[in-house]
Amino acid sequence: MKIQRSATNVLERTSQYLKAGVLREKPAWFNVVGANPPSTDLTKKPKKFELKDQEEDPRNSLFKKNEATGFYKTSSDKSDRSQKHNSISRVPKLQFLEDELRNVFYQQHPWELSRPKTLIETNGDEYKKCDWSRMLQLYKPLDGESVVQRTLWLLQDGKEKGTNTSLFEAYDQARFEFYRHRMQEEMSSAVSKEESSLYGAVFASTNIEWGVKREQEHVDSWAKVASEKTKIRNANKDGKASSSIGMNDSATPSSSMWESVFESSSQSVGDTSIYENDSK
Amino acid sequence: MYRLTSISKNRGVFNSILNYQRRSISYTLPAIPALDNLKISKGEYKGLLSNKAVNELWFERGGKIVEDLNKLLERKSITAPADLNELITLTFNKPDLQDIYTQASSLHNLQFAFESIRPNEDPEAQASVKVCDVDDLLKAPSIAESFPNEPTDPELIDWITSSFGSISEFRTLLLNSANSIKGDGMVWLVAQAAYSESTLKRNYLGSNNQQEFKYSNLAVMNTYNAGIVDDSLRSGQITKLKQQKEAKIASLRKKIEEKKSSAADGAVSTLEEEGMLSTLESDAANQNDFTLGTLEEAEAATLFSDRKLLPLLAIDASMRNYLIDYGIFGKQQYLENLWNCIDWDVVLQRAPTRFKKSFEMD
Repeated sequence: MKIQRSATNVLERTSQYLKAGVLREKPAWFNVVGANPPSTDLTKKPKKFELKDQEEDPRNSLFKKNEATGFYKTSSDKSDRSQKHNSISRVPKLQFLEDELRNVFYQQHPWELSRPKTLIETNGDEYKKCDWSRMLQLYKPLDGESVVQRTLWLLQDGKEKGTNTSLFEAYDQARFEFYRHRMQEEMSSAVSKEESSLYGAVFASTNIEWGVKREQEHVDSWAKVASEKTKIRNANKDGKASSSIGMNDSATPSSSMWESVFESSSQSVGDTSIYENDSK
Repeated sequence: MYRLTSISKNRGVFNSILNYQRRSISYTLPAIPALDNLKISKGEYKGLLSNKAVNELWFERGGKIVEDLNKLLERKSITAPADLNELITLTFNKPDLQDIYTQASSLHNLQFAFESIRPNEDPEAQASVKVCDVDDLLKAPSIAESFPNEPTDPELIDWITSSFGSISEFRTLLLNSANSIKGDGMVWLVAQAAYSESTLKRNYLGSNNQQEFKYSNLAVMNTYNAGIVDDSLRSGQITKLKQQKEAKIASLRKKIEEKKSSAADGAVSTLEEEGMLSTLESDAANQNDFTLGTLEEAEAATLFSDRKLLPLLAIDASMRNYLIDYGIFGKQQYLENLWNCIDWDVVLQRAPTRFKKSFEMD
């Protein structure tokens, strides 16, 4: 039997089968589809045949006189052969209100993007545990996404309560709550620092300085490796250029340089605990 | 603030402090009528605290502080001045009298905070005095811009608005500062003098009289434990140490120069000094030469410029204040209730005359 591609005539086919006795019982969907037949043909066709925009066979348009110019076409050009029904192969554009809100928020608060963000999720379903009836969440830090989700919740809540909250009202409410929390956060960190420094804490280095220092240890050991590798590469090049003797003898060592260097450096790096830096 | 006696205009507010004196060496718990009435009537401090809390915070804790203070004074056989402020002034920079200072300033802060508030007579207010649960910690904040119990005096409103932007911003700053304190501490609204004390000492203004202080700004500041409102105590310790070190290096250099010039033959050994100098200098050089300076230095240069501060309002943000009535999650609620209890008349009474600067001097 020919493969059936058309979804529209599934009802027709099935009724034929029933009549012919191929199918003995009516499928459960039969009456429903009969009452609500598919209105559009969802078959994807590469060319616009039905609209008569394009000839099914490009050769059909050959050797016909063009009335306007009086010329004859003797060979089909690229546009005749090409697929003009492009929209069927395009991935449909997905549009969400969330995305628009995100765009607006980050346009208005570009520095929010500069805050560090964790991309690691334990199960990827932390968002399910969030309760957007409030701004602060136990499972995610306060950021632009909180404003987006809270706005949507407020919209929905307005609908349920019949208060007719507009999108702008909901967004503004979420935004101002967000500002309040940010103010609280900033004050909290400033006061913490002041409080602990008045209790005698000394902050010898900033977080950035500390990070640079830690990174430098690795950069130093890398520099050693890199300089040796460069030497080897240059030596190989020179050898190839000067003579053909020993061309196949590469000076590259059998074991990776990284391993040996990192073994030695990781011991020295590993000895210093992360927190030791603070006491120095 | 306590290095200088308070302005005579404000004596009325501090009258009760004078009542500390008893035979010139022992203090008593000052009388605050609103609290004393509660002790008799066994009523609640309306809109803020239960009777039990008032009893613990004021009568028991205050009593204990006074008792300890008197004991310490007796043990160290110190003839205390009649004015508690003077006692704080005398002891605040003497490490051996630190325990006396702690008790004295605790007593002062406690009294100052309780004198800044009055019961909230709003009949609905009492309902908000209740133990909060964990959800209140995450509760969405109010985004309202006007709140009950805002100051009504137009001059005070104007001063607050010009210092903080608006009453609502001031409230946010005050309550957030209080909410951020993790241990014991107070938040103060202070009036800040227009010029630093050192400027005044240099006599640029043609007068060294303390009464001539011009207060131009209002500010919010925190003190922790038994801290007092005094800029010189607060910050710049690291900067001070640095300055001491620089001075030491300079004096060592001078010594070496002198020795070298006095002994023309160079026979006198300067080795010891030179060794010390080199270690000190290498230490100093280690401190990153490529940075612009620390935050600490910037703060010392701008925030804490040795200004005279006059406290107008105190809010006690210590945990003991809200634990009894509001539970461990109730700090925010306690602070909001406390705002509704602020006695702006007292604040106004304490406020000095405002000085409007026509230009910045330092």
